[in-house]
Amino acid sequence: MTSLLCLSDIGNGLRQASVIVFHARDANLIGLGAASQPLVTGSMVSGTLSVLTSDLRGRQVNELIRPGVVAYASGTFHQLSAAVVTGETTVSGTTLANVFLTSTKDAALGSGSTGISIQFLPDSVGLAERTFTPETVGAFTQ
Amino acid sequence: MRPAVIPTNRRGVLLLVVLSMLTLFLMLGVTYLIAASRARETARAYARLTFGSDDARIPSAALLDSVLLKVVRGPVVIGSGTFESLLADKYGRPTTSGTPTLSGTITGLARTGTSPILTATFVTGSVRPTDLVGRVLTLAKPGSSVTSHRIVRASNSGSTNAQATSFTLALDLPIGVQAFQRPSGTVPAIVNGREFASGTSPPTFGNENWDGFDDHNLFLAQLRSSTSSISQADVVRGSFSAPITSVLADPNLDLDGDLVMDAADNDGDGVIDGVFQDYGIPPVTDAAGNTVQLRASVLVVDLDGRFNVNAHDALPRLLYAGTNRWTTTVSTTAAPMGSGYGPAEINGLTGTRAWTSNSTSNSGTGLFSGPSAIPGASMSAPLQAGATFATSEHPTVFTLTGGGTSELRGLRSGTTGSRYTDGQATFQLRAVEGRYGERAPSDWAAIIGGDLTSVSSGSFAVPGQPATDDEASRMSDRRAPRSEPSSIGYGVPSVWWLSATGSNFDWGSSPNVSGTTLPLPRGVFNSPPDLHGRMKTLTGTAATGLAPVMTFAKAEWADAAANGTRETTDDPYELRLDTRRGFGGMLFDPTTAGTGTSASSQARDNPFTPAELEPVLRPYDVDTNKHQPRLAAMLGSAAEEARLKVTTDSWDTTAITGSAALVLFGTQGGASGWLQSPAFDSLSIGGSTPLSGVICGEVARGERFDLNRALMASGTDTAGYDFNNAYYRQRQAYFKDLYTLLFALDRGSGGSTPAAEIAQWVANTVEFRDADSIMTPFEFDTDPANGWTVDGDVRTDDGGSERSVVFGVERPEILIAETLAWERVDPGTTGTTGGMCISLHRPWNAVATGTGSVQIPAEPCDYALDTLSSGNSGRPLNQVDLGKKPHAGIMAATNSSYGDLTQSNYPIWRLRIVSSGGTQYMRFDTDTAGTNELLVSGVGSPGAALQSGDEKPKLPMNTTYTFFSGTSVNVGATTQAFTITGSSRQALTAAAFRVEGGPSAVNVASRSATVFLERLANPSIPATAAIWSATPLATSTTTGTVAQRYIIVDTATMTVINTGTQPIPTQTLASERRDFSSVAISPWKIAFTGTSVTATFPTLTSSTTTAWMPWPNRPFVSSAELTLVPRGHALGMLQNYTQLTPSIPTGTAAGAIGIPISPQLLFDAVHVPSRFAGIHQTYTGDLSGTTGIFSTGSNAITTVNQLSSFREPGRVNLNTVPSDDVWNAVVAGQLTSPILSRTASTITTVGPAHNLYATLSLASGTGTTIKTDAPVASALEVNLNPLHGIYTATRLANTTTPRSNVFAVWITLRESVANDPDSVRYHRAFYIVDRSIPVGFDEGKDYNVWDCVRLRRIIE
Repeated sequence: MTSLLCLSDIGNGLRQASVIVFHARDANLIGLGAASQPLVTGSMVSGTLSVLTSDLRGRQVNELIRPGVVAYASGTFHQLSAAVVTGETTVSGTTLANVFLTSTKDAALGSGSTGISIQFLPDSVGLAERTFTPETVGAFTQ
Repeated sequence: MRPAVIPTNRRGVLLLVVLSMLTLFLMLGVTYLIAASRARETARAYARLTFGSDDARIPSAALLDSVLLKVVRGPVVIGSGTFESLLADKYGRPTTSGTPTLSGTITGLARTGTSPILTATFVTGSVRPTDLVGRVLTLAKPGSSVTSHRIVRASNSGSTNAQATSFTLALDLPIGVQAFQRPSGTVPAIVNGREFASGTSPPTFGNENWDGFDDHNLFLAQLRSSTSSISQADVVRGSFSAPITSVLADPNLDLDGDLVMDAADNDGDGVIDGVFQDYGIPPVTDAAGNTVQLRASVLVVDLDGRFNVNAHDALPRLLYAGTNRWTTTVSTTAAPMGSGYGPAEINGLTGTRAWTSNSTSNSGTGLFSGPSAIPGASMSAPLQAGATFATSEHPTVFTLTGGGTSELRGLRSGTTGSRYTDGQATFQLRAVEGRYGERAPSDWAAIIGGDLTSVSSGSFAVPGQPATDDEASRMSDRRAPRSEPSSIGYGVPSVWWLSATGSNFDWGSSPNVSGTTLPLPRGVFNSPPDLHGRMKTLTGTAATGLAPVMTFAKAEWADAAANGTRETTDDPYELRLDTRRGFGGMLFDPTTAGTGTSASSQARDNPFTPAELEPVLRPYDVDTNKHQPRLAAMLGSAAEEARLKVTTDSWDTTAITGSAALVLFGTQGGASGWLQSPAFDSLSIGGSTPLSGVICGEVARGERFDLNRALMASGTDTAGYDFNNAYYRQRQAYFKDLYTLLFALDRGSGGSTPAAEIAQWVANTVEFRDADSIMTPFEFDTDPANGWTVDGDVRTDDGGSERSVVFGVERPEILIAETLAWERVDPGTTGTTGGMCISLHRPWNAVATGTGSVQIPAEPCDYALDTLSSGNSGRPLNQVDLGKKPHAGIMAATNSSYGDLTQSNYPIWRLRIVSSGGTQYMRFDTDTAGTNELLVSGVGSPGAALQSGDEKPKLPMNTTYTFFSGTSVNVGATTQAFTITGSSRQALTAAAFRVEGGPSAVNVASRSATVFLERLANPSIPATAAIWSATPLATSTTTGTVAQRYIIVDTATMTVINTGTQPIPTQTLASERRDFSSVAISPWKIAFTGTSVTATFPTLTSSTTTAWMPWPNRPFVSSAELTLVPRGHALGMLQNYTQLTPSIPTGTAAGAIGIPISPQLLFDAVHVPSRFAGIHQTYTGDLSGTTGIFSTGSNAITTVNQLSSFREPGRVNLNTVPSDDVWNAVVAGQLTSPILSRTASTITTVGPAHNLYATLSLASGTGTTIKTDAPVASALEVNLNPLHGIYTATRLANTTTPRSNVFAVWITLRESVANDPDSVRYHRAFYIVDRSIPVGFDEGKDYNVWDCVRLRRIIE
């Protein structure tokens, strides 16, 4: 089990700590995604997810997207509470999948006609967040 | 028969008899007359003999005085109990308070020339210099008059703050009309304890910061207006005794069982208000050998909780009552008049409720009002033109203007217990002057509904000399000494708007008032001043645009050049109330005195004296009619109820008090105060200049920091960053002193607010109140606790690791309203195409309205950012010129760089776009693009470069300006077109006006970019290429040494949408729009949401949910406005913006708002000084030996040059208000729905406020949050403007206090023989004590204690 810690400024002098927990992380995916990060980067427009096929490293979309997986979109982390994949095609090196995603924070993710960027953290299984007020001013709290 | 003939020789006998009889009667008459006269003489002689023997046996006058002295300077030992005296309550009781009186000797007392400062050597016990400053020193040389002085500076031989026994002192001259005689040789001296300087848990007899009806102030009796009878008072408790309810219930109470009644009625109103007690006067033996006991009863009544007939209220409410002189374009009817500038806005004339009522709304009847039933005397609008005044009375008006009437009428209906019958004629008031002197009564009809100018020029009753900006007041208003040229003004400008010139008023230069040169109208007041208290301020949603509109409507602007200095002439604060002046109380007949128009023939002001107050306070005593009758006569039938409501004197200290004083100065000789830290044992606390040392100026002499210190306006002579220029020195000194004060208060009370946070807030405070747009850099020491190690010049790095620099924040002049960006990458193509739109919005939508539709911008942009009407010359237009270039002559009458299009001359404003593709700059000032620079096109034809300065984009207020690449976008397989609303301009090279780079992969729907709006900190310093390319400032503090840099003032996210067709589905165009949805955040907070773009861009053109951000760019009205000063740097302020609301307590709020330290401490350590003339004195010239007290050097005028008398008039102690009427006059003011958190009748149960902050909270103890006003539609739109929420608090901060200094003292002396009720004889005396007058205090010693007794009357 591995984890990722993230601190972010959420305004009004408040900060948020986010911890993402991975289970049985696929080493094959680490370091090979977009910008050499353990991520699969894509975009969602009108319920259609598009990711570069090469980023999937041989996996199917439904292997990647499962309930409980953590994704980063619209400036915050989401943990998927429902993930339905109804179809999958490949066009110009891009995997397009019709998906329906809901997260613990957002009813329907990426269902609008204006696209959002979304980054999945494969094999993540848990997300915990806590808001706090920093006691001092420093590089970590700016 | 012979007729009877009467012999003629017998006729003389009859005549003789008659004459004899007449003579006899005459002699008898003379005899009786002589006998009666003799009898009368004998009776008088016998009476004199009787009185003489009385005095011989009981020296009653001396005994009464002795009781008074005990009450004033202690010790107050009553029976077996000990109480605190009036002076012990102020300075601390020597044995218990921890701030004992200090004694020593003074030698070498010297004065140089006419200097206001004495210097001397003081040898005393071992203390620190900071133990001495701000305290009162009394010279008590036998044979010389005893005088008291304030210690304004103390230094030991090493110029450190270490303990020592010998000090060099600087002392002020004593207050008074008599010339000070300097004693020579060695002079014994004492130093009083620090006044009102106990913390939150003072000892019972301590010098706590409040006076109210609690166990800490047992000397104070509580009397309040009875709701059942005018002639009587409800006595809740007496002085120096437990609550006397048992005495009130039993007037025949005999405490000691000697058959002599012990209840006392000191003030003679028929209500028991005290108990005879043993004040330690030894018994005497009478002629019959009986032992005569001497007992006294004392009644101490506070006079500070009352309506002050000298300082309160003013002519505007008289002149403009019932009229709507404000404007015809905006409805101002419901809006309250006045802005809270001072005690003159305490509203006794209108708008207080009836005396018997506890209703929650204003009756509009005034503090004392006549009957409404009398024809022509409707008091609801007493002074409308045409009203008949001859048969009415309106005491508050009389006291202002004087007056006379053939008869006065009895009280209004519904009152009981009065000596006057309701509605019946009482007596005549002969024409007599009011407090303003001069004439008025017969001319009322002529002036009411008119304007002040006509009143002044007619030499009616106005403050000061009519139609003249009095010199003392001028110095106070302008905050500049009289030696400064008349064109210099650091305070209220003489003319703010010459409305006669209409909407084209040239605020960039002095208006043409004949024969004068006046300060720039908006030099230091970017927002209208309101010294007279006659302005109405409103905020409403604008008919068009995104910003609310703020309206300033004034009853009078200067409507003609000839009217001259309208803003400062005859303002209410020209009235001289300082005791240096020592006049008033004249019974001039206004029909003959002072009616001339020449200066020499005019009578001056005629304020009421304590002697005139006396008959009002003692209406039931037989000698009342012998005393000064003016005030009592004017109050007429209201005089009876007025005895609990009015005063002529109320004074408060300007010293740092309460917990703040304790935190700073600690206890004498201790190390608990922040300034007492042993760390300063080797350091000098005060500097040799205003820019050095840890604590300077006012705080260094124990006085509150002056928030309205002189800050000169920017001009051509302040261009660049010349640290030797007074412009920067004044600001750096202001910053340093306020920063160290906050730091000391915070650290001294155990706080830990980061120094950078304090520094940023203080820097913002400077910029918040100065009128220009320069973001001034301030150098500071991050830990002043170990000394101040920087010189204040940001260009030199001299402070080591503790040096830091902070840039102040100016108001966000322009906001990014909306962004839209797109790009297209289709599979198989290699290039990327795209475009973008960026909308800027200028929200500052404030106007000042004159009569009719004449109006001008009220809070315009700084001249340095503005556009001139003729391009390079003319009047400013309040249009931000986005293409303006910085240069040294930017404040000149002409803008020489207006048409400059040179690429290498960098502009004030720019946009910076940062994305994965790199950094781009958007410029509005040049025709030639440099590296990574995007340009705006000219006006003539799209695609043509800028041709002239006229073509540079300009932003008037409440306008949106959009820069775009095109209005047609290929989205997927279709083309989407939209139109640009509002002002707009295409980029010069439309194809290049897109976010640089492209998506990282074809499947990416969008990528993010960030747009930054940036401006130069100082428009008067040209920007070099290095400045252009340096990283813009986005944090609070820096360690740099540059005074000029680009500062990020706003930022927006930008989502670059991939409009290609493959491989992702076709998207809808969406912009990132600023959140305009809620007054809580919009439009200020940096928060953007995606918004579909269909037909138009920007997508929002009007809004009713945006709120005003108060940023008046003028000196503070009062300290309460500190709550509006934002925290954080320019960017952080908007990132963390939340509208100030009552639910956010000041001082603890995270983010953008709130005072960064405990406001309870801060509000007792800062103030806006009284605006009354002559209270502060401004000095320049030869001030030898005063280094550190006054700054020297040409033009470096700071408040450091102002010497306070440490007392200011007119503040009301809300803890002791005796009547709901007065409470409403003070607290409600002009509001129809007053704040009624506390009324006089509930004060007992609520308990007193312990500091000014609690007073502003209208709460007991130390207070919670400042009380805010409830929203009133069309009047106080609190939701649209937080400024309206503190309308009341702003006024209260200038008009109220938790302390009292003036008291009326009744003393009744009783002589009695035990078990002989017939032996009782009474002697009475009455005094008015003003302990704000400094006197020497040492328990049991007289010194000059009599100096603080303003009035002494032995009642025969």
